[in-house]
Amino acid sequence: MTDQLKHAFDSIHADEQLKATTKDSVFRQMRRSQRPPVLFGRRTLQAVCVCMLLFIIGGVSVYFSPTTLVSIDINPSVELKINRFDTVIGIESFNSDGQALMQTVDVLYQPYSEAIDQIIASETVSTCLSENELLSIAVIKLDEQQGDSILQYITTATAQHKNAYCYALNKEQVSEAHTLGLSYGKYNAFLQLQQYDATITPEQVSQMTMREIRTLLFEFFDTESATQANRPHNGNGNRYGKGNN
Amino acid sequence: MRSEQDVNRAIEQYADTVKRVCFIHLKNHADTDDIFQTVFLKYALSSRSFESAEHEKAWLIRVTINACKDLLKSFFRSRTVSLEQVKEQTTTLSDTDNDVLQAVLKLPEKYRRVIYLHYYEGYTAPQIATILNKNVNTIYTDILRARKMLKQELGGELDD
Repeated sequence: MTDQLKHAFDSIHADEQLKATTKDSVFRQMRRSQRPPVLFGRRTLQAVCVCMLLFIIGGVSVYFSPTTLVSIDINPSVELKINRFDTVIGIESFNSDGQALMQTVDVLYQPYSEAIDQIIASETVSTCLSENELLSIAVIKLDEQQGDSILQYITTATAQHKNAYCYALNKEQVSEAHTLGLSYGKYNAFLQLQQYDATITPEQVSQMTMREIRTLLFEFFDTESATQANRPHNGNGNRYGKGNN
Repeated sequence: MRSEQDVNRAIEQYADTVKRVCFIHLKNHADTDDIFQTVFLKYALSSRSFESAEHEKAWLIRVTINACKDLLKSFFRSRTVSLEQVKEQTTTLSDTDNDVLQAVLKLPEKYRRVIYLHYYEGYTAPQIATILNKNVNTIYTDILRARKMLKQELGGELDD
């Protein structure tokens, strides 16, 4: 029985064509599996790269677009640029004292709250405040909501300093500031001074402390008040004044 | 992964064995081509090391049987072949060989398998049990029943 079965099964052979087809197919698949897998085609990869590039450019552009500007003037004049993520993305000085202040603080890419705290607590600003200088902090709101929050924070942070005052400015009001080499806060003061003295120059204002500017403003104000008080009054006589009768 | 040289040697050495295992399971040339590629590709991609040629052969037989079983179970397999077509495949054989093979093919699948492994490949029941992952006693029973059925099928043609 064994012999008969052996003889019968011996007659079955794999033909050469079957062997050749098998070798061809197996070798092809072996070579394919040795190649590193191609996850994406070239076009897909290019499209993904372009999308990523646009996303990165868009992200960088959004990150580096200021949404609020803070002008800090005492005698050092510096400005902080704050992005929509409440991070300081730029700091600029507008006088030599401002330049010196910038060397002593590290506020770039810090949250605005930390940057403001650091500047107020700096030796330069602390010394100025102790010498009865006036600290002016102007918030230029490009994003209304964020500007309000920042102004609120600064008002609270400077509440203990009686010589500090914070206010909001409209960007349109002070758009000329930088072309004249002034910070937004000092430009605003310059505009007020110009109302009383048209001969005053940006260069003069740039070198003045905020206290000096404020004192000058008060002087102009007092002078004007006195002038108005001495002017003949054309009223009905019920008010104080010399009148013309 | 093995070298092309290794694969080439294995195909030359075991192609007939794989073909015979396919023959007792599939009865179909087209399916045999598929099984050949499956088995030898698995061999090519396998990093298993074999203790001996016998070990390697047993592994290939087991892989071929499993591949055949998988193909037979496959829902998508639509290529069925009648016994007449099988006869056509063996027309080149002598009458005796043809009769013997036809008788084997008439047996249930599990009996065909043990007949081939025991009487042709010369494996013992324990060895077959290892290859097929079955109980040894079951294999002994299968061999006896298969032999009995084969004798009945071939009448007096099968010598003891």
